[in-house]
Amino acid sequence: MDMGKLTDKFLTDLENNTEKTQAYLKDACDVLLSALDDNIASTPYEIVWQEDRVRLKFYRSTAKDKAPRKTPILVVYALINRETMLDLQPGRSVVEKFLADGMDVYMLDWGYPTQKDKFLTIDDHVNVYLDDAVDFIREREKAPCLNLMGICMGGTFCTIYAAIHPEKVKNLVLTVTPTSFDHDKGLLHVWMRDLDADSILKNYGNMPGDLMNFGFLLLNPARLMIDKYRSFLQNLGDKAFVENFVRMERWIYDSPDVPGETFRQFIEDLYKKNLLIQNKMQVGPHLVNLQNVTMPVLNIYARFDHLVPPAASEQITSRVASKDTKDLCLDTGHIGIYVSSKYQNEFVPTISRWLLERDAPAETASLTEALEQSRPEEVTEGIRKEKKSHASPAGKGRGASDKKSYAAKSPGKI
Amino acid sequence: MTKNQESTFFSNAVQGWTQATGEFWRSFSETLRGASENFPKHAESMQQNVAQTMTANWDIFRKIMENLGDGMQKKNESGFDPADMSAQLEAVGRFMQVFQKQTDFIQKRFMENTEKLGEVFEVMDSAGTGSDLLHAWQEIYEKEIRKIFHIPQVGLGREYQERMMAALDRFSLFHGNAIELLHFLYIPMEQSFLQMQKDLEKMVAEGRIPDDQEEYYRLWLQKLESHYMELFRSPEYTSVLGKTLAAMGEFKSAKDAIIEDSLQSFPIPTRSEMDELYKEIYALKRRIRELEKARHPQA
Repeated sequence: MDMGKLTDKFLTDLENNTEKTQAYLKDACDVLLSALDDNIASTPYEIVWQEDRVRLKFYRSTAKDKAPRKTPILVVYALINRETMLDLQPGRSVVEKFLADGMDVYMLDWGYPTQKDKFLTIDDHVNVYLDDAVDFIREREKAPCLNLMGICMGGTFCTIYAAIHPEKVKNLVLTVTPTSFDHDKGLLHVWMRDLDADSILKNYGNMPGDLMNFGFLLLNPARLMIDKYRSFLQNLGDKAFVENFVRMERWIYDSPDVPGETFRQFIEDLYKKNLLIQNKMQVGPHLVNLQNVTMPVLNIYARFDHLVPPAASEQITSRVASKDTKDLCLDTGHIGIYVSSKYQNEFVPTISRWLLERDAPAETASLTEALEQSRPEEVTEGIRKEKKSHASPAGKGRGASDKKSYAAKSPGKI
Repeated sequence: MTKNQESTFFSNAVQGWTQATGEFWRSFSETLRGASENFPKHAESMQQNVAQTMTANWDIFRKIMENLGDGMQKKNESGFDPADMSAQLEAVGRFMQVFQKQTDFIQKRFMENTEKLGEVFEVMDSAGTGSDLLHAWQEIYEKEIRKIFHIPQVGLGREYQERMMAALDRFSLFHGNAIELLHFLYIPMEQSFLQMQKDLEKMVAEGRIPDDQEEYYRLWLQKLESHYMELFRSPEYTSVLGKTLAAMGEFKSAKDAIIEDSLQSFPIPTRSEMDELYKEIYALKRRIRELEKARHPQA
């Protein structure tokens, strides 16, 4: 076969697909011109506390067949992107699943930092905003301590918080949390070494969200700038796909700036000097010592995470003083853990059950009864590995989940 | 003197001036044409040509002045002193000679820089890579052109001028780095297409063409992704990425400084003024918190 025949084959295929293409265009127009349900974060909540730009969302569980939990949970998201990712859409929402399992959820919303916030340090975020929110919940719930769940950078803050205020944290759940930075596994770890964070602070004040997003796109331009949108164009006639895609776009590009001084400290003390894992990080007046982390720790991370690779997450359980630690590695990416239906169904019940095992419900039921109520059939084969043994795959492969899911179809950042 | 006589004097003067001007521009355009033909390989000879031509041009210009002077002498029959005019012309001639010497020096400096610019184009002509060209350009910018933006400014508008020049400088630096970054980002694209072309030729030769055209896309995407991953881990790329981000930030600050200058005439606070306020508020809030904690340790 010569190149002429190849061209001929291409043109013949094009001619044969004319009708198909016309049908596709008609469907695409119908979908794009129709009313799309692309709302995110639609689960009802109330704002129960606010300090400056930081708000505390409270989601109340209405599950009638579940025993109430004794210890409240506070979810702390990263300063990058927004916590709405945990409540992307009905049926695909981490928050919804927690509520269905009888857990009331408090979630910190860091808001949108402005130039006014550029002097805020990690100390301000951890020992002022987070600590004040924790104290508020403790008082409101009449609980001496609470369960803390951190996500990504929010997990790093939670680790620091748990080391400084261990008496206020009953259980610590870390998900895709970077705590170890002295390796070349992720591109971010490589790039950050050449980043002049002082210059960012001086010239921009805060780290612009758009600039960070551009950096994330550069992590894999072939997938995130070409393949992703090709996939979108191919599925324009599929309303559910388009709605999911637009939802993700809305979430991904809803990127608040990161307060400049916090960003600078995160880059210098963590990415460049790796101080946290060495117990050398200074946060305000406190030297962070991981040996103070004595409460149970559940550490969940993702095997294909290109932002926080396993090498950045997996060391923490061996560095804390707690005797009750567990690691769980899922075969997905950084965001897939939260937005893929498949992994939501695995990781949410795992957390819920793990917390329940360490927190019998308030006087209404025995632990055994409560565990039975906690939909054990949805909990997968459980925790994949115990302390100091590394994880095994929890799924069959990346992108094998929900057929309609943009997250599953678009690996990369997802 | 009749009106016709006056007209003849004026016509002669204009004719002479026109001829001389024509000669001047003809000669100048020939020089430029020669220069563009030979540039950059014969930058040195071009420099000599230009120097000779400029000398000739000054002679022509002097002739123009003399023609005008002759005309004026005729006109002087009705009132001007020819000796005065001759002295004035001589003074003009001497002034022009001094001026020529000065311009010779500036011209020499200019041509030296032009030679260096020529080297950049030689890299472009030769087997040099895109990176070599960009580095050559950045080097000449840093060593030669950038100095212009650092010439000390004086007078009432000195500070504003300085900020303007700084912004131009920062923009040039950012531009140079950004082009290099974009060049890096383009390489995997080019390489993946080249590799795809070779693979296609091989597949065609072996008669194994995928039925599904999606297969071509997937093959190309895999190659592109792998080239990018290789690039992104290279120290050259990370260095350029870091430099570009820093240069962009520096340019932003320089641009903001100019905008703040222009905002001074408006009754609104500038970013710098607000920053001072923010810092004070931040310090005050911390102080209040400490005081509250000291007063209510249980809180």
